[in-house]
Amino acid sequence: MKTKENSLEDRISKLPDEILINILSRMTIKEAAITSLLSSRWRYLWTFFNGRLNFDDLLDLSDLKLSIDSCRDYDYNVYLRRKRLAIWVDQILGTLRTQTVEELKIRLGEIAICDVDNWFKFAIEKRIKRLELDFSCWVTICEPYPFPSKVDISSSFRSLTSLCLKNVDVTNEVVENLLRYCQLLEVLSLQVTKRVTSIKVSGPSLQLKYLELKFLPNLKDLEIDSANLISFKYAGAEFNANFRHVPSLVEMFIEGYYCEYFVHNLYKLTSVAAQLRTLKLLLMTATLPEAVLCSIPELPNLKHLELSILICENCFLTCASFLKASPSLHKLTVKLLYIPSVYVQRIMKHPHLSLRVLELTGFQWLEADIEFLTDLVENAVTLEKIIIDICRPHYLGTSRELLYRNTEYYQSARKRAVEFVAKFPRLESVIL
Amino acid sequence: MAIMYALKSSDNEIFEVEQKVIEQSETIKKMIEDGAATGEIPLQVSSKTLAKVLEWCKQRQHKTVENENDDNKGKRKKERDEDDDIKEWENKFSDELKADKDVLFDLLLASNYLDLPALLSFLCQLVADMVAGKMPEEIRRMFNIENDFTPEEEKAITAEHGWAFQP
Repeated sequence: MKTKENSLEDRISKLPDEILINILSRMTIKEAAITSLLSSRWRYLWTFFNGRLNFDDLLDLSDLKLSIDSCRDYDYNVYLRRKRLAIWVDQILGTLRTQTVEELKIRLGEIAICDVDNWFKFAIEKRIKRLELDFSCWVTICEPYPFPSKVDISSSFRSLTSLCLKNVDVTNEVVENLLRYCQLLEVLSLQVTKRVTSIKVSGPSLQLKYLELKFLPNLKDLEIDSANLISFKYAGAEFNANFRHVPSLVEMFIEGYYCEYFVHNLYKLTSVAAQLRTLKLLLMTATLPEAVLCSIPELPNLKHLELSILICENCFLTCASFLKASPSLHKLTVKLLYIPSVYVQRIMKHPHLSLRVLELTGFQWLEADIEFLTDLVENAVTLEKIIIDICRPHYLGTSRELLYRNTEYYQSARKRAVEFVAKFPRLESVIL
Repeated sequence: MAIMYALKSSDNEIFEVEQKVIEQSETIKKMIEDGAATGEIPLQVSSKTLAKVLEWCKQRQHKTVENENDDNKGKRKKERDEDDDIKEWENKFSDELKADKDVLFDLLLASNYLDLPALLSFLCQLVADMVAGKMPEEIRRMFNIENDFTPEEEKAITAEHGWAFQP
């Protein structure tokens, strides 16, 4: 009898405020706000939400309709949706009564309708730990939002551990101050910003672990002297990168035109190369002569290498040269965005003692691919697993993926891959 | 020999527990450090709830000890299997609590009182997952919450937070 009585009792509303706020702060702000309708007990609880605020206009580039007419409609609909979102963000930020908020993330590609200064004010007042503002617009090119000059960085972002700014224009001075005064900062990502020309990452109390710089067209010089830096990601044009003291750096992702330059000059970075555990390279149109590939320094600690290749005449030789330089490599991922036609050299003379996993995306399994891969698999005696996806890497996750997977072309390439794998029964294989 | 402590529940049941297990509770740890914990430690928690709390603490303790004893060899596979085991255990634990919400709320209050941050966080997440994505009427039904708003009030709130109800 007693249990029956108990189960009809409203226990949740009797929990102390602090527990209910803890519960609400684990939901999205929308889900938390809905609870205001439950009863008077819940009416204002959600306004003490201190979790993650995430506002995203949910635009996916791949869904863009390409005809001009529909594009105009699309533009207008997108504009309306963004406008609603901007109003919504301001309403919520104005309603919250908490002292601190964990995270504020806004992705909205229409700066003109946003009160961004107010968002910065909110981030400072609520001692935000993670701040991400993404104003990159997909439909049109828009001017970046200038980092508010009124903000006094020396006193404003003491709690900040992660900062990601896209299409927010910062100056050299702003970056310098962020690195000097945000002493808890572990993640810094700057993307699409024109005014930065030079960055110096150094300082005795620097906690920075992850640095990402993408599409900073005027960046000329980067100097890093940082004992804690673990990961460096860069995309963009050639620039001077000076890694003075980076004893913890184990992960590098390089893409854009700089990537070719990076491979050409890797021999100058022997000490950094020696400590890397993960290296991801996206080569655009790369000319990598044999002499350059022979100069790749040893990568004795490299465990995972990912090569994404757009156009490169020495594509297979590039893979082979990196393999040769990486005696501890555990996993090799190759993503091809084009169709290589020749595999000339028999370069797989050395056994790759450590390679366990081979992941191949975008291979069409034509003659050259099969010759290269046969050579590779026969020499990689420790190989255990092969993961194959025929889909072109740039279609993955877009609306084109499904269309592509239904083509005859795809199906016949897949059939060739299945036949290839059948020749190596010792391998565990996954074919998507 | 592990040091044992005797915990006394509010309904006078005694639980013999290893110090390491019970020190996860900041409240009890402080009592022990202050020297207030000689003999039995009286707690404002029923025996049914305390048993559940200790079930959680023992599982957590088990997990940390095993991780310490691991050497590197074969660690990856072992870790993966262990993670699966822990997941499975946690899922079973959650299902029991979802089926008997009284135990869930007793446990929430106990974890708050005993200052067990990991358990409190686990339970808050559990309740959050139960509530998230549901409409008010569903949430009220799930937890027997009585709607004490007048229709006018309800209308006003809906108007104020209209954005929350848009897809």
